[in-house]
Amino acid sequence: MNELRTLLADTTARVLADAKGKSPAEIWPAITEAGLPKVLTSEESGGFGGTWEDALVVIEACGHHATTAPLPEAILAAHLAQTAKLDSPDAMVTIATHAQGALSGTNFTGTLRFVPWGRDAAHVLTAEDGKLLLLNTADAKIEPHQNPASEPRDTLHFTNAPVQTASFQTNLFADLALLRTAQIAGALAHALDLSVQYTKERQQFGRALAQFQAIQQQLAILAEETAAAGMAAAAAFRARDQGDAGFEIAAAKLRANRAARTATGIAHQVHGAMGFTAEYSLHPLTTRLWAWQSEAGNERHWAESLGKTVAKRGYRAFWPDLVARSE
Amino acid sequence: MRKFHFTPFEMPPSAKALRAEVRAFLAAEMPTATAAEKSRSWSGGDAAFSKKLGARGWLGMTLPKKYGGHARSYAERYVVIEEMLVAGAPVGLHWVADRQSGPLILRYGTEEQRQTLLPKIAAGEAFFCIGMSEPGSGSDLASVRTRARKVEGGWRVNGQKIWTSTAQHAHYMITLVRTGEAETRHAGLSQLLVDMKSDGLTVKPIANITGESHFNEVFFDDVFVPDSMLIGDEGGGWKQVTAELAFERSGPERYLSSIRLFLEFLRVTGENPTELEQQLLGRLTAEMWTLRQMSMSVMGKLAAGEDPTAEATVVKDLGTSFEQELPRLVQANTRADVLLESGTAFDDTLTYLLQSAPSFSLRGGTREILRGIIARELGLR
Repeated sequence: MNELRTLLADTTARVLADAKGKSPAEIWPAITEAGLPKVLTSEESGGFGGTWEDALVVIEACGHHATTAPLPEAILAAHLAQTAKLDSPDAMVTIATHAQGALSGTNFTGTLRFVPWGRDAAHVLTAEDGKLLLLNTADAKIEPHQNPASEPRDTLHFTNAPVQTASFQTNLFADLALLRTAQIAGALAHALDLSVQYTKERQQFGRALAQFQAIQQQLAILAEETAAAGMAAAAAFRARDQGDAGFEIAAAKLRANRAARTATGIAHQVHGAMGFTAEYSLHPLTTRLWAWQSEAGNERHWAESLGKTVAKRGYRAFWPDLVARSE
Repeated sequence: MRKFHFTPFEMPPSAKALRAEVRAFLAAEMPTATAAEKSRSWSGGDAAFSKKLGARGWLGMTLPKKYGGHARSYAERYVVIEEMLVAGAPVGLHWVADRQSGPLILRYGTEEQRQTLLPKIAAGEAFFCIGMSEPGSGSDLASVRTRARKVEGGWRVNGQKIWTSTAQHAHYMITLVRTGEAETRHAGLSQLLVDMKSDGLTVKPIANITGESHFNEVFFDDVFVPDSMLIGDEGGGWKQVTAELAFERSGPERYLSSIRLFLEFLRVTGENPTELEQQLLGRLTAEMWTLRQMSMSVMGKLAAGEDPTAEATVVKDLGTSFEQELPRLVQANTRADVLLESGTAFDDTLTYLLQSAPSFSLRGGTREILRGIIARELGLR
């Protein structure tokens, strides 16, 4: 790890560990003070001037700590706003990947759905027709919704709301998939830690669960899936730094989803009834791992998209295409 | 508890040109290779082909020049072998020598062994096999009983090895034998280089379920092995064998053994796949992309002089599970008219891989042993 990543890892771990059990409004000042939403923005504007690979450290940590605030979304929003030369607000910004509506002059009328922490954010960034749109949530009528992990995924209705726009081609949906891939990797790493720790402590038949081969073999699979998700995230973040990462993001989200599907089952199985209690700290991770598999493309979505691309290119192009992406 | 570290690896700028060179060579060398031959991948072999690779400088690539090697990077070797595997080139005869015997001799061998053997490996003229398993020692490798008794000027070896791949074609075997007391298990083992033409050594091929004979029984009846053929330290065999494993467990051959069938499936599917076909193609592509990243990450660590044995174990289990499941998935998802037609390129590839796939999670350490190693790394045992 380079110096910046070590710094980011330490800072994020400290801030997010303190954030446990607090509301988004309570957490956000510490996150802002540490400058975490500005990992990707330039040093001149008060950011870290980091790369996506640097940001990975922070976003993975959000998954690891099951953070109850839209820090990954804010990092993406700050980066896009700066790149598109929108006035980058300092307050909490989230993003909306599902927008329906119309611009008329400098006003927007329409609906944004599945907005992470829409009720808590001050601003929301969305994309439509080759434009980035930055809106104030104060102008919206907010319908609260949530994902299976109880994370806010609100619907925001705007009527003739003032909007800041910039012409900018981007794929918000793919970028959200990139964020979720890293969060999945982070949550899996934590679920693995808990599973190893628990099976070493829990005694049955006069010995620790960890000493049973049946348990060891399952935990090995959990570790492998965690490693695969981590690799997929790291490679996709690097690709995002290098330019068009459409293929890598599709492959990485698909692989991370699969890892989450397999690994959550194992983590719960080795925890027995304890993992199923509201009190124990496994469920904030596993419920998110289930929710994030649906968000920004489930396995079906990305498999179809990748499968179409690969078939269209034909069997002769498959391997040359695959290796050309990293050369 | 240990963390597994996987970091993206960037191919060096030289990779692109080298890849083009290898592809041009393969296109010229394999115009008449059949689908069945290509599906053999690194289980197929051709001595003339191995020699040509040697002449092109694509064997022993990472060995120093003074031993006939080419002082190329691990990444460059990786490029060459992944292109060979994807093309289904007959690389099986030199595979063990190039992958692990060469590096092992370079690291633990005597100067004399390096000077005599490494140039032959790099030329594609010396093939190696690995004498590890015995009738009573499979996964429990440390229980090997083949014994080397110290005699004047060397050793006398008695015992039997089994499941020894390509022993019938190999010039040398690097064998794990007991030189110490039986009770000492790991401590009493040594690696001896055995000339396969030695008196008292007999090779008996064993037919496998594909109808071919890839592995063998090898009998040692008072076989004399000179002192100069001990590799590394007497009693250091276990440590040396373990060091070989990072080379053996993480290469692209641990996820690409079924690549020919994936390509066949893609070919017969055509440009307009059904949703079901899209699903399978997408899933397999994502898996392959991830495995390649992981495999390259381990190679990067080897190149940097780190010890990625644990990560290599993860790659091998994930990779072999993938390449093993692929034939079953392709079979389950192929259109009946394509599936039932016999004697086609698709059918020949599927038929061979359905039958050979069970070996993928056995060879070089079973899935259960690998997972046991990972469990140990996790601190569970």
